[in-house]
Amino acid sequence: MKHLRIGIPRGLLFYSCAESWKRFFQDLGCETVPSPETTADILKEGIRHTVSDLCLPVKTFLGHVAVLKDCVDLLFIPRHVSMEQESYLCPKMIGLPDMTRACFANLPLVLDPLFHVKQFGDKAIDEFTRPVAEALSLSPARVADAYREHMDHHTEVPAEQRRRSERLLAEDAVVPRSSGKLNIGIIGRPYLLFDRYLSKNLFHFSRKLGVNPLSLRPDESEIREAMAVIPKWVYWDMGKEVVAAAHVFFKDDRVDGVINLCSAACGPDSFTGDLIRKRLNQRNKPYMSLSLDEHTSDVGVQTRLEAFIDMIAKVTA
Amino acid sequence: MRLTVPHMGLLSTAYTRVLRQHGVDMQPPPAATLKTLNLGVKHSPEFACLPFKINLGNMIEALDNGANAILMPGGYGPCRFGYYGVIQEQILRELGYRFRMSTTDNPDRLSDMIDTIREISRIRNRFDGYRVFFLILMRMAALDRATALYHYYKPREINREDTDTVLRQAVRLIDLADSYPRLFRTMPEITRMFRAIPIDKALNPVTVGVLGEIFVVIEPFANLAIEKKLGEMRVEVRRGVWLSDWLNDRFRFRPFRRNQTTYAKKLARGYLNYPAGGESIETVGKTLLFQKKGVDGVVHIMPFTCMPELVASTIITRISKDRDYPVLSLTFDEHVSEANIITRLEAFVDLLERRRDEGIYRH
Repeated sequence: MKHLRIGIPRGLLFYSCAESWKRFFQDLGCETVPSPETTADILKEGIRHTVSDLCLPVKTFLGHVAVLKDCVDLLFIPRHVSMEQESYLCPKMIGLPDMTRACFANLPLVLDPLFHVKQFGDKAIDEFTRPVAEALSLSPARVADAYREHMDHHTEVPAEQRRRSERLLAEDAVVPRSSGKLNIGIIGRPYLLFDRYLSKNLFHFSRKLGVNPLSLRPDESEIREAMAVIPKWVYWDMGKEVVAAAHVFFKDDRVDGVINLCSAACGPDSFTGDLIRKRLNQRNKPYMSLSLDEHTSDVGVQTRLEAFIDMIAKVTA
Repeated sequence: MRLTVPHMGLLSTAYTRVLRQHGVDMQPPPAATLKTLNLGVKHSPEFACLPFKINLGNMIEALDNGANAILMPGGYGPCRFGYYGVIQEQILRELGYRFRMSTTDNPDRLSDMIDTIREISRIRNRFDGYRVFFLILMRMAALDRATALYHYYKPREINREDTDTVLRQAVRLIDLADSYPRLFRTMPEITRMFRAIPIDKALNPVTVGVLGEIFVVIEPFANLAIEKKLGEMRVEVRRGVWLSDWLNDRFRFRPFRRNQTTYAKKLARGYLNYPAGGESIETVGKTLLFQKKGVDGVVHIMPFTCMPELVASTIITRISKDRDYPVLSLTFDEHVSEANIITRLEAFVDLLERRRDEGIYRH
């Protein structure tokens, strides 16, 4: 078999699954080529290729595709429809491979296996691995084995993200009151939070302001607990995690304030944001929703962050 | 209990009278006006989509008029629609309204619909539930049939507004047809009424397919009566999504009509290989179908920030390029202006007419 170079655009689900994708393909004898971290040029390239008022993360994703498309043999853009029985991903992620094909004229082969637990249940893995096996001319059984080995637990997070999303309750992540530092919970979708360019380096900047930024990936029991508080199960995969993270932060006494980082015109977040603000924040903690689009400037974000911190200082004083 | 259900096109005409006869105290919201929209926008999340805002406005107006129960279909799809009810209830409670809210969380399942009908009405018998529900569906199909006739006669009419008057009468007649026999007697009558409109028989109008998110397509208030505007520009509208088809795909009450979603899925293959929720697959598939059938162009309409239609819009832009096929995407929200829409439609229709004159047919 030819040694294949598989391009993985650094956007959207990359920030949740990249590490396992990488190991999965390595096991199958392929090399993965992630695109570089987002820059202004990549975003500009994405905006140039998009044709409609799509949201910021999708534009960024397409920018990454533009960077990769001429230097790889294959593009890996999986179609994740549902990760669990009772959930869906955002329609834009469901249509992502098709949108990518529609936006570019000369793409390498796009590998777009379907991942749909709601429809296929336990067979979802087979559905997912069959097209991969076909494209790489490997036996389906081998690909399925590699999948079970590396991807079955999506809790794997990329090293970079793991460093930042240390569990809230690990004592070293939270700073004690006595230190005079504020603990601020930052919630949002991984592809915004951990993209340094899109989040305008929010983590770094808040540390510079002497604040301890926290983020977390809620586990199953935390998600279930949060869903019990709101009237209806949130059926978007990532939206659910955002809501659960918000719930944990609002509940925890050591967290002084919560920032919700979302992209402007994000469909699910327009609704979950409302839920978070009205249903979950019952103790009236300082809460700020920060929406990003391609016109957002570093300075704008920084000013709002400073104002937010000043406000918390006033409230807690 | 005075029950209200937010508007969706002509749907309320299909069920109000029938349900009233079976003991449901129906209070349909007043027809949407600018006031409805303003009320909705004022209390909605900023980036909620237009149908959400109009529905919320409907609810507020209905509650102000004395309704005290709301029925809002729900569901679990990738589109936001399934979550409307939760957020709307939260907003209305915050505004201090007291009401009962019920959502049907499996609106695609026939048994769920029947249970809902039995719960709100005097109907106890399951069979009667089916009978009433299917009568409502047939009435909806009749309303859609009248609208299709309207699309045909509107561009050809000689006296302006004739066709609109006939459509209003037809809707009224269907509203009064509250049993199967009456409904079947009404339909030929309606066809006769449309046939009686004096028309310009020589006219061979430009045809335009109207596609997009179902609420904005079927609700003239949301799309600034785009079909009427096109008709007045002497354009024959071919609507790609119908409420009765949407219902038929789920409940199969018209056995001889093919399942439009499955059909669209087949048509869209190669461009959109998996339905991305909402009407995305219909939009893509029917654009290809209209192109094949020689419809002159497609107007694609959607609410601002609509997730499924943004996917579709990206893809049909590509189709337009690949196949040299005119496509116009229009986004609707509370800020859209009538002059803007008219200007863009006129420019689009001019383009289609010129293509036709120059004989650019590439099918």
